[in-house]
Amino acid sequence: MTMARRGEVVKLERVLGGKDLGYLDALDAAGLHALREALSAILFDDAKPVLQRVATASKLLPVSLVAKVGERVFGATLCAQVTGLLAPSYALDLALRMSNPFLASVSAMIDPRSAGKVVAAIPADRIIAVAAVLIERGDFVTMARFVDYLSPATIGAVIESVANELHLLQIGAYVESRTKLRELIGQLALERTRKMLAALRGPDADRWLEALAIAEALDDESRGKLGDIAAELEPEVMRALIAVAKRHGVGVRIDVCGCDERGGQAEVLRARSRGHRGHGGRGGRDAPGGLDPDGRERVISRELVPALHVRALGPGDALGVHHVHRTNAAQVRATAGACVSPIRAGLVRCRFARRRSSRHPWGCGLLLRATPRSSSLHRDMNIAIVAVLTSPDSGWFGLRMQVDLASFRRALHTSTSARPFTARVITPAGVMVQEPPWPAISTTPRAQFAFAT
Amino acid sequence: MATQRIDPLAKEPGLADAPAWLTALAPDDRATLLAAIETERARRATELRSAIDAALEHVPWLLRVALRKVLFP
Repeated sequence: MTMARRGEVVKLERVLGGKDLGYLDALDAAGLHALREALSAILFDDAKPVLQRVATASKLLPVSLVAKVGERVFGATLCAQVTGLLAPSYALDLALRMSNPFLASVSAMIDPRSAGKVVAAIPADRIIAVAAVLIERGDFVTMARFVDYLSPATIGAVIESVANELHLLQIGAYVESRTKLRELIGQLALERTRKMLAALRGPDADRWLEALAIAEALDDESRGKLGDIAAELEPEVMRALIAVAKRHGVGVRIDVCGCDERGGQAEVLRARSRGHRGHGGRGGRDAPGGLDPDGRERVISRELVPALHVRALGPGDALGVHHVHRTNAAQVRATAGACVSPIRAGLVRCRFARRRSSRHPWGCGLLLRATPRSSSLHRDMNIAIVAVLTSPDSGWFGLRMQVDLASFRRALHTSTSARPFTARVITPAGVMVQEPPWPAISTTPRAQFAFAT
Repeated sequence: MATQRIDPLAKEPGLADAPAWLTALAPDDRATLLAAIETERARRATELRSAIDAALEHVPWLLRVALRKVLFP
């Protein structure tokens, strides 16, 4: 069951009195949402005349008495229904006189749209207190429903008050508004985001589904942020992602062009280096860098992309890996998306760590294989590896990491080890750590990258 | 003479237009849904009336009479 559908089931169960909804299995999240909207309107309209009179009658009594009777006698469901019929200022006055646990119960039953003004006017400290009750109850669905109606400052205060990052993840997974979700992720400090993703292992590994659900709703930049963080985490976290992906039918893969059975990436580097030495003169003639931007793109499309080696690293999977100029990410997405159907494409994650003691977040991409003729690509070309994480919703979660060749060369030049790099590649079969020995690789890194200068 | 099946859910005012999601449900499932709606509707009506009666117990009798006139004209 997808996160969106799970959230809708929880909300619909509340509308229909908590009964088993197995007979609605044929409906997807959108269908359940439409049904819930319709049923809420039907049931509310039934009671509206009486509820309207209750709202009118409440004005005949002291506010303190109405609050007391509301909490002790009326109960959360009826108070939730009446709230939308009260003047916002009066409803706010009542709400502030009620206990936090009761407000939490009302929150679970209320339609936020009918009480948006009231919710927005409640002081942040009360919101935080009610949020604490909801978290204690594990009612993340309700918290997510109110994100749309709270100010960024209040949301920030609530985020600060939630100590457990996994709780934030669970809330985020149920947020319906993508705009608000992006705001929420944007407000999350880098360290907390890292902690959140790092916790996705062991008994909490299945929460990767929630992380993927969130990632689907984000834009490329935010996805990239999450992806970069994930890429820096310990292998156990990524293994948990792979395990969850396999268990729930989520495709996760990264292909590296030119990765072959014999030497993997090392072979690619060697081939490129040889190609440069052997075809130095040709490099000048074919250099896309010497063309205008449009011409360069044509050369890239015509020569380089078809030359890239497409190889499935796991059974039943196929994914092309493409390179991209840094200004043309959309083209890569489109190309990759077209060639890997039904797997959708995004831009990448792949991290190359230079030994354990020294990580380089810039690592990746240069291991794309191109034909010798294209080895003279201009020096400012950035390259990305295309990878895909798909979800049960058929959405995709792409992580992008572009490589600046100059940085890559600098790092390689400073390498003093015969085993400078460890490539960690995620495949459907798990995390493959491709380590040397790479007997064919030169111990003088500069020579390997002569082609790029 | 062929009989035309009339979907009982179509009688619901909010569902009369037979939205796309409704057509995705099998006839038996629609009947179950309709029963669930009726049950919940009855439950809420009972709950509302009981809550009002109980609430009125908390106010002085003179005010209670006035409130009853407002609530149940």
